[in-house]
Amino acid sequence: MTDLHDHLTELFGSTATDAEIPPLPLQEILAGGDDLRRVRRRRAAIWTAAAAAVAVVAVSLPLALTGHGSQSSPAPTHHTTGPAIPSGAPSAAPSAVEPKEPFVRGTTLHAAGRTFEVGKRVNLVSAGDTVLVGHWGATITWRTLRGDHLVPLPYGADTVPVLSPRGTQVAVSTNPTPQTSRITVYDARTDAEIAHVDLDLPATCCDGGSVQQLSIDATGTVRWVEDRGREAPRMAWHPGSAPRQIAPGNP
Amino acid sequence: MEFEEYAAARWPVLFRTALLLTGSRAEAEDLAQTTLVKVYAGWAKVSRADSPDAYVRRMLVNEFTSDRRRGARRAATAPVGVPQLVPADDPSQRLDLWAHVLALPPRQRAVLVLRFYEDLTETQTAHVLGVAVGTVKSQAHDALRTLRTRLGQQEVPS
Repeated sequence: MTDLHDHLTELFGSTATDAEIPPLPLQEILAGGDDLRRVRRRRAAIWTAAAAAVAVVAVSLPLALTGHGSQSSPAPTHHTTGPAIPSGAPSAAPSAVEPKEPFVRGTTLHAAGRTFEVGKRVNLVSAGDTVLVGHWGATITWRTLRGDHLVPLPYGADTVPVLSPRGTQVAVSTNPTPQTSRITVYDARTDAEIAHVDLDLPATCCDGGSVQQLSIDATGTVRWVEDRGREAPRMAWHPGSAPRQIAPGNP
Repeated sequence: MEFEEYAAARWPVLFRTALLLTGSRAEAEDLAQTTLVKVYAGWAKVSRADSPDAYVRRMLVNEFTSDRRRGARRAATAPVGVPQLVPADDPSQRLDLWAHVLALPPRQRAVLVLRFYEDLTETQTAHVLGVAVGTVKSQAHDALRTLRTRLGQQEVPS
């Protein structure tokens, strides 16, 4: 062996050329990629929530110290429905985290110790005992796991719902008119509407429209960021009260 | 180009490179598949890259070196089967060389594969690995010196 470079080139070349190429595992790749996207979205949501918490503290602390907590810029027009529900810490102790979360592998949903054929191009939203499965087509429609069946949800078409940490409430953002955005809170067990709020906020393309970073906490308080062009105020709303701005928009 | 179309076209190339990096068909298939899973998850970004092929090759090599650092793949798979990967002609010498290549540290092996199979320059290799050119030079030098020593050769300038 006089020239190691040449021998390496020859060895690599012949080994690679002679190799029998296995079939492309496309379905596994697509399923794995979808799972990875969900994990990344969940991770991003956690960071967003953490950043929001920091922002709330950063904004509310100086306001509290100066006694100007009730002052803010004029609130946008809002129309709320539904009963007044007291906010505050829930009375029940937080339930233990489930040891195994639902997941989709290939075209099969694994949840509650059972499997369900859900087809391709699905989106999974879950918390507590609630499992929502979105089916992508021309738009997205949702089903929820009830017992041994996946039953259609009467809401959530063309949007992605979010669940409260224990999965007891669902919040969705829709556009009843081109000039209006609506946030609706549902009872995740009965699908009954708890309340909704209409915002003077035109619909915009695409995911989430003008209502972005939608979330609902364990007390039922909904938070989101409004896309108002050069401003993006962070808002909070508890059913029974008016939405309020909790952080200023971007300059 | 849609992802499915891209994956079908690049799968053989990725598998071959993965095979040279790992030395095992099973590991190579796993490595190429894992890479394409990440490519699919980030397809919007990958497809907009100046050179998607170079971007994906970098993902493949990084997946290999990072996974090797964790040791997970190595612990979970059987020892490399050398004979079935070696060309039939001049078998004894190639068996030795291939076995010694597979015994190199992952980064040194990656440098050799990129330099002598992918035919990349030292600068391009450094870009793929995310290291300085000097690091590529030293890794290649160390790898070649190790191979020569193990093959019982006299050291010759590279």
